[in-house]
Amino acid sequence: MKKISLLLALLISMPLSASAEEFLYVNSARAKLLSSPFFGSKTLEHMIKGEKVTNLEKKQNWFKVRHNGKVGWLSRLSVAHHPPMKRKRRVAKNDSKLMNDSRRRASAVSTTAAVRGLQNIDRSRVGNNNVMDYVSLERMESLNISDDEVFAFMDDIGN
Amino acid sequence: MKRTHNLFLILLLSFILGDISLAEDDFRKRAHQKSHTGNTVEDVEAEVHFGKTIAARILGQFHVYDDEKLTRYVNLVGKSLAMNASRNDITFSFAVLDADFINAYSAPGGYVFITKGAIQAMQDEAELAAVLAHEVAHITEKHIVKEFKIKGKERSATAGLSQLLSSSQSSTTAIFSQAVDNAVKLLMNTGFKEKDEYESDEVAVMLLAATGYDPTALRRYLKRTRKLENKANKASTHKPTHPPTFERLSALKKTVKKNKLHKLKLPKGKIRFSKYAIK
Repeated sequence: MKKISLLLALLISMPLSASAEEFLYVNSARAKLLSSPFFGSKTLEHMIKGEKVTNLEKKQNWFKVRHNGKVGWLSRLSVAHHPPMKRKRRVAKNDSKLMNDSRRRASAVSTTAAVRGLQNIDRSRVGNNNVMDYVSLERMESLNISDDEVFAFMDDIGN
Repeated sequence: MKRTHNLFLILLLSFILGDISLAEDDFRKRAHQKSHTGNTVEDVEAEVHFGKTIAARILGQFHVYDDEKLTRYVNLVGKSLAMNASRNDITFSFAVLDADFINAYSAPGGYVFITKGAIQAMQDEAELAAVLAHEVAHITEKHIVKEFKIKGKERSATAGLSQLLSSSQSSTTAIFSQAVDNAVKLLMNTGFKEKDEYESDEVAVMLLAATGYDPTALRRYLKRTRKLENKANKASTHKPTHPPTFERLSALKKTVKKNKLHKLKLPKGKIRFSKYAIK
């Protein structure tokens, strides 16, 4: 009888302790698990996007966490309370019309005015400051740089 | 009596385990629907749509500086910083504006602009990274998104941006245009709230250190360009949109010390910067 009561008490306390545990997820492309809340401290582990850690404590810009049995610190800039989302594509389906309109109306200096949503009600608002240049924007967005190229660039800062 | 106890035990166990699995399922659902900031996919889409329109408006006011190599270089520096930030749900893009005054701008959704004048006043890559990191921080901390309450679903006064964008009704389009007008005005004239600016400075120095750049670069750059900025901005019709530099310098000094960043000896990237510097 005593044993059963003990087991019951243990089982009842189980969900309470499980729900008290809070998790964080690495949301940056990579992050360092450090030995203390300071960028110059020893790196305990190199972590990548999506890895789950147990949050133990928050101290200003740092989280004290546990991962694979190691306890260390992660910068608040690299983690979040939810797993990372899939990266949002810039040119959505409903934007293709916008881009086509933009190209059609582009002037010689490739500046496009009033391509989106400027119906009769707000055409009067279009002055120099309200000009929109979707052609340059598309060029800006289309610059293709792979994550690997960025990693290689980052690892080669030099002095 | 013993049988009753065992039955009770089995019932209790199945209740607890059932509860745990239900909670886990529920969490998985929520995790898929929400981003790291607790926002939904629709919220991120609305942010990108809003930012895209603001970016198009900024590009309507300035020509892009036509230097392919420099543009690629600025993007590599900027994307390195973004990789170390927690907004991997959006794509960051960077452009150099053909303007002589010293300034930089950012629009929600990952659009960052820096003037040619600002780059000309820099001495190394860490300084370029510092200015870009400040702008990236405005995006990661969602300063404009919070200011204009940009949401994907009808959950606030200016919410329902996705609905506004897809709507063909002139009244909803006018509301959207007005919100863009106000955001552009904030970026070009009035500037962000002071607390947002200081938060961006703090995040910027942390981002510099996380990426591997000298975290004192923002302070070095601001200190040197203080006089230059006044002169260049006086000659320009574009207003300065950041708090007084001497106040930012003082706050930055405290931030660097608080985070023990002054003890770090990280590279400035002077050699690589000199290959791309605008003469």
